[in-house]
Amino acid sequence: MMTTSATIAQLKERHDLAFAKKGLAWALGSGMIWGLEGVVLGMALALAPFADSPLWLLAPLTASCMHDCTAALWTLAYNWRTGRLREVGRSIFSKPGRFVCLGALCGGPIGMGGYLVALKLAGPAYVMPITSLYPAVASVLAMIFLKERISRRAWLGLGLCIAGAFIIGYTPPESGVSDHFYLGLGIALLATIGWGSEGVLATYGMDLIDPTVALNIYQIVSGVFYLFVMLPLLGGWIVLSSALTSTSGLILVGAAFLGSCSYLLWYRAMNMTGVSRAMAMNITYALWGILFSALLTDVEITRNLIAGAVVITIGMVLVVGNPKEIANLRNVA
Amino acid sequence: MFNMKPPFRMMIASNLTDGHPRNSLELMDELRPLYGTERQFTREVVESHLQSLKAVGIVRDDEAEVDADGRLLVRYAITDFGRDKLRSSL
Repeated sequence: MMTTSATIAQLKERHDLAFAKKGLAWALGSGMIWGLEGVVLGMALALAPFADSPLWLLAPLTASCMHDCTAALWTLAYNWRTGRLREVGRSIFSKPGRFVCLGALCGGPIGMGGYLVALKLAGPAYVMPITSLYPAVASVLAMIFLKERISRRAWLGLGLCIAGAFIIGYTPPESGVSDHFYLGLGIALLATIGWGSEGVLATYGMDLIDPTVALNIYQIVSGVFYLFVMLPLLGGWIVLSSALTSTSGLILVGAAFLGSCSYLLWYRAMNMTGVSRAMAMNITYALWGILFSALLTDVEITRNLIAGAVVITIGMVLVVGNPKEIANLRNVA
Repeated sequence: MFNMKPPFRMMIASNLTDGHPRNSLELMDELRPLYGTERQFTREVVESHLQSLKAVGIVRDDEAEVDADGRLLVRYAITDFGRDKLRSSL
């Protein structure tokens, strides 16, 4: 009897550990695929009609719109295939579904839209460091609102992952600032809070909703908002109509597929390992993005890349820590 | 709204609010009339939902046994936090 109890206890521990490890692996996978997706997206943005310089803001916003709408269709197909199609309808109108919708607006138009506007107004040298703090914002919000347990080691690891992403993405500041420089910084801050809130709001909803379904809700809300609110306001349908019949549009469909896979893994991971760990693993896309760029394009491996890669790797190890600690994510009873 | 069924994960947690711990197979027996025709209605999906619900503190594990196939079969019970969460989510 003692032996049977011990075996069951061991099996339970192994069961929990396998679940936590799977979550960490998915979070890392989401960062890797997101890195690859960024490279493919970059290829699409380098072609007409997105590359036309007068369309500095409209082009990336149209690309974001196409990306989210196409990604929504990819995920819808996945949900249909796995028998979750009706679940999308019933979840979107539930109370937890409303939190996911709110998260979509924070992450899509506020996060991504704000990031693009801030880049134009204040430049990447100032905007990148601000926006790369979004996992830290998310972790603080997760600690406050989700009562998520975050150890000191995990905080340190998270800090290193952010620092590594910053080192890799660092761009020296250009001389002179635009008239709207400080407005740009403010919008970058807003985008950071938007991205940070997205993860927490989505995870709050996913407590009672399937992550795959929550992701689909996110993509549908974000895509519809871009398509029927943001683009009409900026006159972006002109770019959209020409992008739909171009090679760049086709590449974007591929990027959206990768984006869907990445988000799918990320959303599931947030529900399995907690927002802070999943965010820390996801931000490693900065590292994977450069590696994939080196493989697929002519980007050279710089000293910054190597330094950033080392810092991110140390950060990842600290965040992962002991997966046994992930069995219970929150301070709730 | 529109007389819809609740999301599957939410329904799994709701079924535990009577205070009796259940395992995935027992929950599937109860939920089959509502969700049984959907492709998502599998033991793997139900167990994945239960493990996620446990990770976020909505349910806790209770007794466990090994089934005829040698697979671990854990019974889950609702927590006070889970009960409050469900109440505020309806």
